[in-house]
Amino acid sequence: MAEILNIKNLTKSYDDLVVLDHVDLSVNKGEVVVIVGPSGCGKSTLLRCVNAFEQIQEGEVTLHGERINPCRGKLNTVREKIGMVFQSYELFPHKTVLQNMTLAPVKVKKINKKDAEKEAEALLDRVGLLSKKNNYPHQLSGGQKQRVAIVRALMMHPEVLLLDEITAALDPEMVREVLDVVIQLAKEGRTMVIVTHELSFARAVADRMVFIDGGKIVEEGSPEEFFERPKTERLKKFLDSFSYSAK
Amino acid sequence: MNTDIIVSYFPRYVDAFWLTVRIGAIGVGLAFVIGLVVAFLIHFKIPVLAQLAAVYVEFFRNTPLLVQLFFIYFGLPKLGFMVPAETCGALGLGLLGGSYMAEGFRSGLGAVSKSQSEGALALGMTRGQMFFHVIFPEAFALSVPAIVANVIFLLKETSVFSAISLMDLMFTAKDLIGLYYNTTEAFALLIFFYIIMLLPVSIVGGIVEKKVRYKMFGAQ
Amino acid sequence: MGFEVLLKGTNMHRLLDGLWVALRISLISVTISIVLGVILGSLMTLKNPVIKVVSKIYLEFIRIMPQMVLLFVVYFGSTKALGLSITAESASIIVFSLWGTAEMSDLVRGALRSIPTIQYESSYSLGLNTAQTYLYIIIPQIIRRMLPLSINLITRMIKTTSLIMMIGIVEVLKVGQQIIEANRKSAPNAAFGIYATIFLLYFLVCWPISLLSKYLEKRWEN
Repeated sequence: MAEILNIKNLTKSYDDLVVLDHVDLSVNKGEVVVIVGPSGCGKSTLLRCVNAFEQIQEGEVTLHGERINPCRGKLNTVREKIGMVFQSYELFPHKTVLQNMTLAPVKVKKINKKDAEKEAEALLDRVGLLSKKNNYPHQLSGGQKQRVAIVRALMMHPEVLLLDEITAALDPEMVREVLDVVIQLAKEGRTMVIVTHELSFARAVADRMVFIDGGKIVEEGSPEEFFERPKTERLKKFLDSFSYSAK
Repeated sequence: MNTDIIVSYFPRYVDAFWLTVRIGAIGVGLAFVIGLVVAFLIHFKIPVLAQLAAVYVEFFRNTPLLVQLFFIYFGLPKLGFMVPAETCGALGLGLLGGSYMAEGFRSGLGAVSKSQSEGALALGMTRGQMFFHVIFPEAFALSVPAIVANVIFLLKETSVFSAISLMDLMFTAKDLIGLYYNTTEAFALLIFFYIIMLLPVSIVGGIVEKKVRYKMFGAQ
Repeated sequence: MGFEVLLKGTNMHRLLDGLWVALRISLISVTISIVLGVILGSLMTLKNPVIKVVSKIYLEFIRIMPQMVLLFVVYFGSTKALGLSITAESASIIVFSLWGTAEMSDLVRGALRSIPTIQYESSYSLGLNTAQTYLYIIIPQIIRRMLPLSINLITRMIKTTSLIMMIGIVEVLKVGQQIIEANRKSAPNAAFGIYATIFLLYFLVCWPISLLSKYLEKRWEN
């Protein structure tokens, strides 16, 4: 399998506080990597380092062998290739669903507006939101907003999709509709790096699980090994904290 | 700047200062009461009175105090309502301020969420208890920034009182300049006394705002 | 009740001319305030300590100093302090612009701050560069937040310009006084009718603008 994304020896710190400590991670084409870990372990920061929203103190991130953080060239041309979806959706409130989706393809990729709209409509149809294309974000539910945010990212045909706790702000009944979309994308063979708290979803969607604690990758492996036969005490404890079964 | 002149002017400014503060305080107090009453009338949709209150708010928010004062002071006596200058100043300020305060209280009342009142009802409170113990205090807290801004605005507006021959700070400065032409000293004292009057209000207002915000949301 | 005086000769026309004097001065001052306020407000979001201190003092001074005081100080004080004599009209435009710029810059700063960083990041992550992000994402949102408040500033400016009569500009109130004086004998009750009319005129000018501001605020709430 061809490697797309490579994180090597990445260290990120704020003043004295080390958030990520010499992290190595490689993502292959078509692979879905799910990162879990306790709050504040640095997993979201890792995603933000990939997209160069954070400056890193050591190491490097490469996409197809091209260094993207620290970045020498134009950041926006790099970010075009990396899609990102945020916990808080971050749709543009002054634009309709369709305008949200076509803005970047038309302005950045200089795609014909008609073509972009056609593509956007097809994507919206797939996530069951075609009827909302002319609505403004504030008229949508959280789950609907997040589905729009996902397909908006897809409009740029990113090579990697970063999903940062995309269900954390949602009401429980809306989590499913969003995760279903992500599972579909995984089946299509999209390359994704996902940070989440939804362990059952993680297990369903992941090709590989990564556990980060204290800024370090503590354990990684196939979902089965990861959940059934955790090797480290720290992962066992972390997984236990999610189960309510009597001991 | 001549210190002798400053010293000789000072007592006149002190008198004017107290006059301004007195009328300003009465006006602000009046504005508060009018604002509360009007906000209640509108919030509870009391028939007829609510509509009248809304007309009052629109009229006084959309006209200058100076015009309101001229109307009350020079216009109303023609209909037989004589209003002494001091009363006119306080009344004008109160009416103007009442319309602003009403808007502030009303948006506060509107902003207190429905779930909040359901919570109180669930605790077994009567509607009256709920309003006075839960909704009103919270709405009031939400209105604090607007109230502070309005108080500063109203105290600044007192500077037009000289137009109806009240011997306030502005009047004193104009009078002294007219008499002796010591513009610099007269203006320096004028600015000084307005700072004395309004800077504490602004600072205390800022602190109160912060405290309320802290109480309501646990952080700024 | 004194309304009949308005129908005499050109009285009503003179009153409206007076109103226009006040409106013209407010519109010029608002325009200047918006331009300077946007510049100052943007500068204030930079973390430059000098700009921070200077703007803070400027804003606080304007916040607590009555416009009337500023009007007198600039009009009568400038002659003495700077040795130049400015017209009453320029003095009022200077003062109202000083005041409006302070108000506007505070609004601009607030609007700029109210857009969270992640909204910028969301735009960057789609590949938009900084210029595109400001042009398509940030500035349109700021305008929506600013416009209702800026329109509101217009009504406040119009109301404040009633003060210019105090430095001798012949505007609507002054014209009203002149009409009352001139008809003292024939219409002793003119003061009621004239001032009621001026009251109504100001209302008719400011009310629609307030309504527009409220409407836009509601419409763009989200």
